Amino acid sequence: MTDFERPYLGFGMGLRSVHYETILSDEPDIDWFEIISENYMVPGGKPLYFLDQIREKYPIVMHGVSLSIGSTDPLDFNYLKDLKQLIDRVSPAWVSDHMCWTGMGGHNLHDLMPLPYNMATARHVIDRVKKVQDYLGRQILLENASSYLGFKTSDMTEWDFIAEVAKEADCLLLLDINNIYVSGFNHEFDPLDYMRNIPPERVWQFHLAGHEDNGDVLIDTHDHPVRSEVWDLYDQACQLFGPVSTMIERDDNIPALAQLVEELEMARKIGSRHWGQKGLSCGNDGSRG
Amino acid sequence: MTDLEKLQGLFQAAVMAEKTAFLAEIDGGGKIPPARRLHIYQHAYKARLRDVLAEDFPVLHGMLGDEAFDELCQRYIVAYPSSHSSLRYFGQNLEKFVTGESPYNTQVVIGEMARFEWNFHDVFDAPDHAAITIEDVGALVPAVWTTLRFEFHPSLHIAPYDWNVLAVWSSVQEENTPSTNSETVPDIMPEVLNETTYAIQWRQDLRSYFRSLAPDEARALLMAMDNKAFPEICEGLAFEHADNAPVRAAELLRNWVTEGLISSLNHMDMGPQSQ
Repeated sequence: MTDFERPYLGFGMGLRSVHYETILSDEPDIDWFEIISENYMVPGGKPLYFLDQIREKYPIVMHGVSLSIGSTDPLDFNYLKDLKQLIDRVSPAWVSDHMCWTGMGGHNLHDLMPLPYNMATARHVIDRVKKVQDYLGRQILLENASSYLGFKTSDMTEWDFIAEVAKEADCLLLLDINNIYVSGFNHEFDPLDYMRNIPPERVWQFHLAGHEDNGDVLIDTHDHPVRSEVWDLYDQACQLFGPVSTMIERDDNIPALAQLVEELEMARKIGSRHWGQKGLSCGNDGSRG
Repeated sequence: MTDLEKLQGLFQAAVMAEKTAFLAEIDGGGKIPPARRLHIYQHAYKARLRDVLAEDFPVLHGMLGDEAFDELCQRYIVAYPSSHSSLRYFGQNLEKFVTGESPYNTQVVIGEMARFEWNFHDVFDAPDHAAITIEDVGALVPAVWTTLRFEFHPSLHIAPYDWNVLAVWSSVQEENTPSTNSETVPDIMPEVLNETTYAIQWRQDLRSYFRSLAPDEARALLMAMDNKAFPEICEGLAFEHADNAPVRAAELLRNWVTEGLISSLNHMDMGPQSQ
């Protein structure tokens, strides 16, 4: 199906503290976990204790929310130092963050703020991704965020922007299928146009999540099960991209783990329909040696 | 200043301070107008930070009620916007804010509850350190007791309270662990205590604990945490306990060790002895 190698972990889940004990006692049928990096950039206590226990049983990937790769503030090397320390402790299969900015002037809005899609912004982001990758000594994955507004100064599509950054910075991508759907609705583009123009060899991970439907605008809330429209889009993504490690993200109204495992079964069913056993082999771990 | 820097500055000012200049930068196409698109970010910003405070200060929230707590949050968000990469630290200035701002500074209990609830967060993820055991203390030879000093677990916090903050907090908690509930109305009303009372908060085996201290224990613990040697702590206890001071000191020490408060024993004869 493909002429490139991509590491594949199977079907995973966002690690949430309410599930720590259940994971350790039940060892559920989940192939890997994704942690929110910032939640474990702490001195000690429960988060790191459980992370250490869980990583003995499951592969871990790290997902950050505060890299602020698109910000015009200088890169925060104190943050990167802490991130690198956590990477050394966890030995994740890979490390990701978002294609966005989260604040400037030293502030953090704790939101994934959209960027204007033009070449000047792309060059800015490319330069910063290269610096981050050099500092961490590994490629990073960047995730497409949901957005609710566009800029007059944008003259590229989001997918062209992302593809340009990935190619020129030599970074990888985490495609959030729900975010493509949400942004497609909010900005009136066809999610298939988006996915068809993303270089498949760069895509190492999929996110699936739920959103809130407000009639004329969709909000990426991560507090609902994955909606059927997003499952349909995931089905098409599986066909377009081949075996990509897939996980479910749930941040609010978090149900019992068993319920999320059931939801993950849906992803498995769709993935295996397209990939069969092909997706079961694992490649490299994302480090540059 | 680059175009991107200018744009981000306008966008951030619109989100944090509801400035309107950014509206002119938003693409006007699509189903909903620019003002509504921007409002999604403005609303999400305030709601997210308010939710974090509600989660971090559940009993303060219950004490104040939704309306007053929301107003406190909105004022705090403006006064102390987040500058940390993690939301974990967003509430760290709330005690400072309420003790300096009217009308909160006229109600001491608000600041004390903010302090007590925030301390649990520092207790929760403080650095790990093994605690010493009763056997470690028993193994000390008599000669070292004259210079014996204590190092305490990094999670240990001690603070004075003039209000019945611990009782109010306990009335909405089933056990001595911080809650994740965001709407909890206390059964016990806040009241002034007869005298200032110290309380400690700490972590043992991944669980967070708290308790109040008798006046003599508070003095002894403050001395011990100030790196005073065991004989000085005994002298401090002599005011109330006279000849029984060493017995009381030994009793307190046993409690501190059993509760996992002490992480190492230091004395001049043998250097640090830790676990």
